[in-house]
Amino acid sequence: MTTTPDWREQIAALRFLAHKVARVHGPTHPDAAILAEAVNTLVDTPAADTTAQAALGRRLSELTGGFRPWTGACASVHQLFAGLKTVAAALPRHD
Amino acid sequence: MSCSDHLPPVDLARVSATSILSGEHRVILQVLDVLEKLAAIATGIQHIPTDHANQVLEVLTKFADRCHHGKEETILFPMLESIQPGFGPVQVMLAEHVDGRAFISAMKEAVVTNDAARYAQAATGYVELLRQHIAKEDDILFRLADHMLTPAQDAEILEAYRRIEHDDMGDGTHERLLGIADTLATTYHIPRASDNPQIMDLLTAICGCKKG
Repeated sequence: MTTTPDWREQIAALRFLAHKVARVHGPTHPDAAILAEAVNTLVDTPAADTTAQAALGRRLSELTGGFRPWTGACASVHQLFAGLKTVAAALPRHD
Repeated sequence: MSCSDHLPPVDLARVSATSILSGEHRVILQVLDVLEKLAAIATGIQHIPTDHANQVLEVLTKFADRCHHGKEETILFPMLESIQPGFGPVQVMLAEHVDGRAFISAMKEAVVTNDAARYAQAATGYVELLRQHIAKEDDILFRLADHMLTPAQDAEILEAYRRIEHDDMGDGTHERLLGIADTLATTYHIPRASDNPQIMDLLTAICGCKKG
């Protein structure tokens, strides 16, 4: 049995948080739904597709404004953005 | 014919005291499918896949028992018994929760002592018990509960679920356990309950920030 990378386990949990944030805050922060979709895509990227993983890492950073929660954001948003920042840092880079 | 047969099934498209629990049932059934595979491996090679066995036990202990059964035992069931004192189905469900905990303890001990045969036996017993238990709750108890609860009582229960999921479990714990359940499902080629949008909505319906 192969070992699952840490970021895969982290993003599997963040998928639920991203969906929750999109559902609750989507009406006032439309990017939250796009962010949840990007997280969904990352969860299911094939292990060998490091190019897609790197691109999604950049996309997560763009969609979150560099992983900075908006003013007055709730604890769930802070938790989501902090988690995504950690995941993005662990993803392959193709600069 | 059961007395609940004339009642409609739990509506998974609507957030309610019972639909939240039915949604969680789908995740527990997913984990039971993983556990069944682990039991088969333990039987086949006389060795327990320890890392995955411990992950399953963490999800069963914290998500299925502490969070999910906690919502039932401390919130929904007492409410039903307050409406109809001595409500019989609740007593049956509580007894099965106790039986389930005994199987979990046996699995934990078997992992520690690397007793593959005992692990497989306890895991198989737990899978059989919980599958039947979930069917009884979804098909009988929750239908009756939907019929008994007023909208105000339903709202009161949902607010109490929020306290368990966020205040008692801690922010992020619920999602972390769901993530483990999904990672295990992917590893063992089992469909993820959360890929069903209705189930995903139910699993994420209770937000700690109390908006929406």
